[in-house]
Amino acid sequence: MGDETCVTAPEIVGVDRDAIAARVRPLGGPVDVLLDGRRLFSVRLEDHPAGRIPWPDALRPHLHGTATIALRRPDGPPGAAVDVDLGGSGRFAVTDASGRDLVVNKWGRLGRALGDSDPRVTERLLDHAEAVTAVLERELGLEPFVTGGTLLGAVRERRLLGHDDDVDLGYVSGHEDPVEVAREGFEVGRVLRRAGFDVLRHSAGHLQMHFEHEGVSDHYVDVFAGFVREGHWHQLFCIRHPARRADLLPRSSVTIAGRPMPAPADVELALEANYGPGWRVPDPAFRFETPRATRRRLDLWFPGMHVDREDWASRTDRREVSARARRLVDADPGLPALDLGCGAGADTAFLADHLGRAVGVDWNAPALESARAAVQGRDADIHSVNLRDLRAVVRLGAQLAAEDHGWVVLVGRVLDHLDEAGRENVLRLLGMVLRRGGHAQVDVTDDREDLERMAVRHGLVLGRNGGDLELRRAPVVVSAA
Amino acid sequence: MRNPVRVVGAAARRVLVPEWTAILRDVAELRSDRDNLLTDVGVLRSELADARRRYDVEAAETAVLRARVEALEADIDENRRLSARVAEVTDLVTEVVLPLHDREIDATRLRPRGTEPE
Repeated sequence: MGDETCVTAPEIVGVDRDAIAARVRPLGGPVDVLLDGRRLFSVRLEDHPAGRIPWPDALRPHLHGTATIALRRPDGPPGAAVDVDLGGSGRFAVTDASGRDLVVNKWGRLGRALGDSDPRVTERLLDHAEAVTAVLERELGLEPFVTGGTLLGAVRERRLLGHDDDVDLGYVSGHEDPVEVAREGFEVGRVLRRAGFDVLRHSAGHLQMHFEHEGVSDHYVDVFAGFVREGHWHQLFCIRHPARRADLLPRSSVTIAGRPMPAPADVELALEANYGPGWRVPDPAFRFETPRATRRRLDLWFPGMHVDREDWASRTDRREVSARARRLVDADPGLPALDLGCGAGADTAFLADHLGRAVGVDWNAPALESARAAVQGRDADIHSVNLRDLRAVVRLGAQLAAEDHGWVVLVGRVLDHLDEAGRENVLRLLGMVLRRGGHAQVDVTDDREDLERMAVRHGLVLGRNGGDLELRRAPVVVSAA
Repeated sequence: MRNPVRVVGAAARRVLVPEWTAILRDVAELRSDRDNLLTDVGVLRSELADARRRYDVEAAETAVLRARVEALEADIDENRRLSARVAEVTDLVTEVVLPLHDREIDATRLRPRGTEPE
């Protein structure tokens, strides 16, 4: 009887807008939280010793209405479902704009899970993973293989894991030096873009390709750089494990949903490197706990280019023309405009209408799509540029500075949303595009002194024009001596 | 001749307190033990003082080493950040500057002044 108690499914004893109170023994290990029978998120009970499972922050905006909640051990049957009322109207649902179910993923963010998707998504994902693999083999002679959660699913279940949402591909560079690995990573991005993929760069060694199906976002494929150095296999963004090149290449093969896919030579070594020695035990609540020595290497050799990206994405849907854009036009500068952080393009279109020409810059894909629609029929270009990517910034600066005129630049709230490296890049860009005249109208809420110091480094001076802060090219001082 | 008072006193002690001699011997031994222990305490106090001094020296050295490790880690971090920057700049040269050169720049103008190609 005592043994039966141990295997009883976890039981809900109360639910409110803060947490789910659970009765579960042992109070450790992973548990899935089910909404209307489907997995919504997973937790590790040892993180919640009082048995109170807090709702993840990502779900807070959705927490209203009635819901049917249950708990389940990943390898067991669900416990009794409980009908709850979280207050407010309607039914508690977590879906995307197309009505498709979302889950809280391992990053604590809302995303889709293959377990909730049409099985044909898996087919499309594997098709695209094969297409990406073929391009890297053909163009760069690389030997990509499935890695991360994709490899785990292949070995443990011969399919993609239900709680996963992508295919992870990795390759082992022929280089040992992180400089060369990063340069190769840049080339990988160019090759994949030329092949027609929609590539989002997360770092010099991590690319993500997004795929749509019937007009809506469907799935994505990640590509991670790897290399062998100091007797260790390194692979972005969390692997550093004792290994030789021969442990990884030549590739072996695994089967995913009946399809052969390339895998590292020693699959078990690769999984232990990624998930630790307990990789065989299912754990949807698994979170990467990257050792400090690994993090210090990979994060610095391949710095992330998307700091605060969600935060910015949530601010890019403004459709009204800003007062600052109107003031810029009222000043009648007689120069074309550059709109940095253009979002949905309302200001860019307005500036193009009144100044003759405008260039809008943002990185958020949905915002860029709106911006391109907003400027249609005008003399305006919209560029996708990540201002944290020095290469992209200098390329844009070189392109704009090559034109035989100055620019007026609307910097918006971009500076407040960038870290120091990103702000330095913006000032570098302004230093390039203002060489032939014009000015940049800047909006900063803090760090004005810091901005002033940074401006000097890029040959700019910060001044005030009415209520607006402006950056201009510093006058060249000719010494009488 | 022995002092008769002492002789009587000794006899009385033997009768009244037969363990007297043994007690005297024990007292002497205990005094000796106490003296030895006091000596040991002195030695231990001195050793404790030495250990404290050594601990203070080692704690100071540990603090210095901790600071050095932090400084070395910061240097290594800087070096690794530099690797990322070198990769970016090298990529810029090969992907932006050289194509610009192909398009727009007269190669002869790039030669350092006063030198002629061999």
